[in-house]
Amino acid sequence: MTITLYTITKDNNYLDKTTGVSPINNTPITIDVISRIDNLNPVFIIAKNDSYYAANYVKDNNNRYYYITNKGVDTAGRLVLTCTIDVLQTYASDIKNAPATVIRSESIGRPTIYTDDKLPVYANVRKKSSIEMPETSGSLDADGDNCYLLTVVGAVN
Amino acid sequence: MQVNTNVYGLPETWLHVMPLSGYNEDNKNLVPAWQTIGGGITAGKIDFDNPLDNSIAYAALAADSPIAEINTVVANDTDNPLQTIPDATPIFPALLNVESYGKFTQTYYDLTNNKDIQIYSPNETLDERNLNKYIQPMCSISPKDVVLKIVVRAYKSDWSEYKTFKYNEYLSGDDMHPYTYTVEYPHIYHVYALPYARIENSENRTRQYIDMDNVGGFYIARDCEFDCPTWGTIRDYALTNLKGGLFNGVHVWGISDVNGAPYWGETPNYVYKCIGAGGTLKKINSSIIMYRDYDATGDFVHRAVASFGLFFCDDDDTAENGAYNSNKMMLGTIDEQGLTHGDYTYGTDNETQPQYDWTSTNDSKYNPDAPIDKNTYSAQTTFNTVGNYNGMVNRYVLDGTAVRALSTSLWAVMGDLITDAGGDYANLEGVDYENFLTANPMDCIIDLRKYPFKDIPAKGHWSAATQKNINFGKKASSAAGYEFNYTMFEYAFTNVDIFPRFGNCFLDYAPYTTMELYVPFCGTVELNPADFMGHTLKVKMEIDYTTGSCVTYICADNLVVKSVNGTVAIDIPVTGTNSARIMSNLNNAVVSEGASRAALEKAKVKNYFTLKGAVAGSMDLYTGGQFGVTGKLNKAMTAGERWTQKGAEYNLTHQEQPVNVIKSCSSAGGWAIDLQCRLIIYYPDADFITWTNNKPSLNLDALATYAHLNGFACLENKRLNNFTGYTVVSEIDLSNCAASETEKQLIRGLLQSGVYI
Repeated sequence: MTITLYTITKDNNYLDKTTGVSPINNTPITIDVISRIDNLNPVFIIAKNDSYYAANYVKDNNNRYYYITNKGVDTAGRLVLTCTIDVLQTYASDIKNAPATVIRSESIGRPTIYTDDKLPVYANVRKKSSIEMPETSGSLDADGDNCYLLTVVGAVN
Repeated sequence: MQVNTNVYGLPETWLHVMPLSGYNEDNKNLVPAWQTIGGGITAGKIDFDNPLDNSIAYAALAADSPIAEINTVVANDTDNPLQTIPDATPIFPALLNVESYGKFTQTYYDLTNNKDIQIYSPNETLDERNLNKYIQPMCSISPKDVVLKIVVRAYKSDWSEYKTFKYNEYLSGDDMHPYTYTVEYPHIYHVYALPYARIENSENRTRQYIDMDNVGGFYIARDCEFDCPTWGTIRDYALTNLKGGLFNGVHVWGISDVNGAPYWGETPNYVYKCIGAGGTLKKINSSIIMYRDYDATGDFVHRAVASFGLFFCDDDDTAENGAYNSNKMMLGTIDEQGLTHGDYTYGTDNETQPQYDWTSTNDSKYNPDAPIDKNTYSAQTTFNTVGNYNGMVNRYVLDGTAVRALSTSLWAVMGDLITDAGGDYANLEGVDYENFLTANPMDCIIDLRKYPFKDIPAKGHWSAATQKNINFGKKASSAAGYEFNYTMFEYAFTNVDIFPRFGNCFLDYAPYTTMELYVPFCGTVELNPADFMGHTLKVKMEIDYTTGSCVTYICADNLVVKSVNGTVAIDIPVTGTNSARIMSNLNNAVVSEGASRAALEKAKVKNYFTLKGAVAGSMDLYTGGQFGVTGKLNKAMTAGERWTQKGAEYNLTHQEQPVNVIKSCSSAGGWAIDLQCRLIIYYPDADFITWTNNKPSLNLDALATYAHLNGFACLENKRLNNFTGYTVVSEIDLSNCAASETEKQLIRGLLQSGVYI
């Protein structure tokens, strides 16, 4: 088995961490036979190289990706890389193709009809605006002295 | 489809519909044999409590479908016009029958004399809602194996002859839109839908017409007691068993004589009165044809055939070879409840209908036992016109000057009295008290109100341009006004289109955005933005002149969603003298001697006797200085005694003038502010909201960082490759992911916490 070392800067919750990042080693590094091959938390032992100390991320030749959680040197002077699986990068293609129910998304682009409690709206602040709706007959007038309606009982004229 | 052979019998015993034998492998188009029965169940043929196959009732005709349009035909005494009674129950499931004569009513048929008639129900009265429960399903079909071609039979306008048309010919052309029709034969009295079924090993044809007479039957809704749709002018009608006539096809509607033959000519026919879909038919002697004139504005023929929810067309070529998504191929639609309404699609729209993917009509999801939504849904409120009436009152419109003249008139009783007396109390005997003694003006006044209108005669809703003197009871006064006969008047206000200010997101709705509407005279009313967003806010104020109040209707488009009451008019108190009491006081006043006394006494006596209706020309009673033949009036008279005039004047100042007041003042506060409506909107505010001319809008740039760190709340069900940036997932299907179960749990946990894609 061979591995490739990277120094990544992206947070762990990124699906893609290695795009645009060059590997530290020019050629794949063959791991020592006493390395512990583990699906989730392998320990890779490789020949020490000063340039490898900057690595914080590993890809093996099966395109599985790991965070380096600890680095050390054993009594034989070999570099010991304790790793844990990065499932997001490892299965990024399958994840992207999976149907999902998304409840928050940056790419939606704007607030939606769904209430967003995180949106920083001022509490208890309201601004007023109004729209006039004039009557369309133009007959109302509160100031005139013109319009009285008298109701009487009487013979018709 | 699994066919219950315990009920149907073995497939080899079944009849085959020609020429469809090539499709036996799917049990499609197979016709189970029947056995003649005599009013009971044939063993093994039916379990009438359980529909054997969804094909029995793959759809039902809704009440508004043309076939089920009217459910009762009732002939009146003269048989013209016919009256119909609508029934909102969808009573008529689409049937697939072969010679089963499935019918609503069984009393119609004599089972012992009609052995070919198969009525597979032991019950005399059928359940009106799903008759197919009691009718043996003859077959299920693949909707794509059968296309119905429309044929109509129509009479000339003078009823001299009839002709049969393929419907594309009757439409006078191949174009379906817009419709034209054969003017020469306007009276359609038969509509058939002829089945064209798929054949194998054909030459140049996909489907072939099935002649029922030769094959023994593939009928759709044959002999069903169609209650007739709305017909035009009734000439004759015969409502007997509506059989397929010469064509033996799908008889959509039509008429026939008592023998079942299509009606034409003058053969005497009988009218059957049917009460309800499952009722007894009673024969009424009459001879009437039912027909319908072609209506170019409503393709009722298409809609009638569409009610069966199958593919149909107007011409031979489409029937034989047409593709199911061609523009000339139509498909009746079935709604989510399994009801047909007469609607249909054509062309590629057919592909969106469920029948397009059915293997057979057994694929239908229609449940005859499911409750049917019979409600009529409307998005409109109807406003009535209120008639103008005054009843036994008169109304007058007055301006301010006329009101003051009215007041003067009400206080001018004594002036009138003096005027009537010729300006001289000495001539009081000339006064006719009748008018005042029979109608105190104040008693005749109901109310006086001031309305906030501009001018009179105003805006076309005053009834007269000239003024008339106002009558108080029988007393004409010098006050005048414009006659007014209106009861109600609608005031409309400018409509407002309600636009979302925040991209129609949650901020545009309560509790973030709220609304109030100020209505003149009514105050403010709270509105729900969700009722009006994207719609037009309309306000109609109905002013009631009988009470001075108003009701304001607040509409979203044309549907009233709220109403509010208010008071438009201000009550104006009316004051005046109580003339009745004045007259009473006058008549009972103690008068000193004087020249006026005699006149007053004469007046009192004259009017007294006048009131008694005793002797006309009562002054004659005073002839010779004596009253009456006996010369007595309220006291014994001695010979030679007479009334004499004494000296002093009648002093009316001793008499208190009583005052009447009608009503009191009401508040004019409602007039003090806007006489227009005003929509007040309360908006939220935030750093990402900008304001221009009192209008807010979103500043999405200000939300960029927020979006990157939090995303926007949403509810999308898509593959994740449709998203970029920060994304939070609630559920995901990782069945196609090669990860182990432990890894999948890790993936889900990370996605639910939020990831960057």
